[in-house]
Amino acid sequence: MENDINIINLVKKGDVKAFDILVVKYQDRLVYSVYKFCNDFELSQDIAQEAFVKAFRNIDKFRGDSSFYTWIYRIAINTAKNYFSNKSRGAETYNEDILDNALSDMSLNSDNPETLLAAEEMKDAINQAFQDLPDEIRSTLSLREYDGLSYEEIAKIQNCPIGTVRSRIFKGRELISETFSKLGLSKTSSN
Amino acid sequence: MESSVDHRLSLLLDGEASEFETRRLVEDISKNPHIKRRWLEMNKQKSALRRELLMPHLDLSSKIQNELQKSKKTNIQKQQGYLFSWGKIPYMRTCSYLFGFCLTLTFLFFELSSQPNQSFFQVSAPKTLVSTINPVMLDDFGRNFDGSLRSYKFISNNQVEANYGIKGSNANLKLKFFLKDGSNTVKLSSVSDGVTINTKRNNKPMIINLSSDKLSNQKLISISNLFLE
Repeated sequence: MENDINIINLVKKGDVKAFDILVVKYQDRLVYSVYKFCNDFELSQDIAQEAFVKAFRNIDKFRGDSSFYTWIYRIAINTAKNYFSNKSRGAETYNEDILDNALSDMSLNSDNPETLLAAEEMKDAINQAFQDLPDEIRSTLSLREYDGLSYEEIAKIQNCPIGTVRSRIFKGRELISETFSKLGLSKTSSN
Repeated sequence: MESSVDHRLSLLLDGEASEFETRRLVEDISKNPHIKRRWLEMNKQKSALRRELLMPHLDLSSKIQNELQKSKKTNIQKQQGYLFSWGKIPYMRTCSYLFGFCLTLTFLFFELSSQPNQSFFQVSAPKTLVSTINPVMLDDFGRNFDGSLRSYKFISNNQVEANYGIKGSNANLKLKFFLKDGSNTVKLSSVSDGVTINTKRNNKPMIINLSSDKLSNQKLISISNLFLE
């Protein structure tokens, strides 16, 4: 589970800048999940945006029982449900089954790759770069990124100091970052 | 230097940065566009690695910030509008407010006039420390260390005791204020726990004792420093 408690405590004190950290951290994941059931780029962005605004206004209600992402995901799904209900009252765009499936399945796969070409290319390149990492670094980063383990848990599993875990993960990201820069996103994302 | 920033951002990305470090990074990211860009890139990279990237150049943060600023302004305008919307209050409700207000004033007048030598504050607290310590001050002071004032009492003319709960933990903090005079010598001998400091308030020498069930002495010292500043 992602540990955002320090950031959330700042947001609860009204720190908008801290909330910005959360937006950048979760925007891709949230937009991606919303897109899965509305199949509309613009709409998925709008719904994610509204979900973030609602989350900020209701941050006091976040108790930390689940991760921040799980919480905001639920807000986004309810926002989408309201949107479709108001729009068509059960017309062809709104599919209750799809929404319900989305609620129970948070790791959906894309079924519209043609519209996501750039992103797909990037994902492939990054994953190739990940595969090319030295074994120790790759396994450490894998435990972090795919299994969601904390540094302490990884250190126990790999029987090494937590500082080693920290530097392996950092090194892995640095190596992948070189591929990332070659794809040109670093230059254009500043716009 | 750049590598060190990246290292810190990597920890933030994994939720492994300390509270202090998180606060520093929030400031750094908001003030330095270069660091902000690195933060964005690292998150994009993470999303791509997890195959959750939909649009490589997507960034909702500025739109959301604008939206939050806009709604903040709207709220302020609404509050101002509410303050000046007397004309909208129904006539009967206004009358009942005025009647209640007059009744309260009348009650206060008779209540206070029956005790001609005491001010309103002095009804509930002894004379000497009231001039230097009051509940508003105690409450304000608590905010400096995330403490919420739970209770306070004037033990005597020269002694005030205030209890705070520390937000985000279940620790309590007790503050005892003594004016330095002979009558307090006995009381001071009972103060053995925590941290005790000598200071001045309104040019009067004062002793403050801080004790807690859970806070460390180091934390108590840092809070006591607030009195000395």
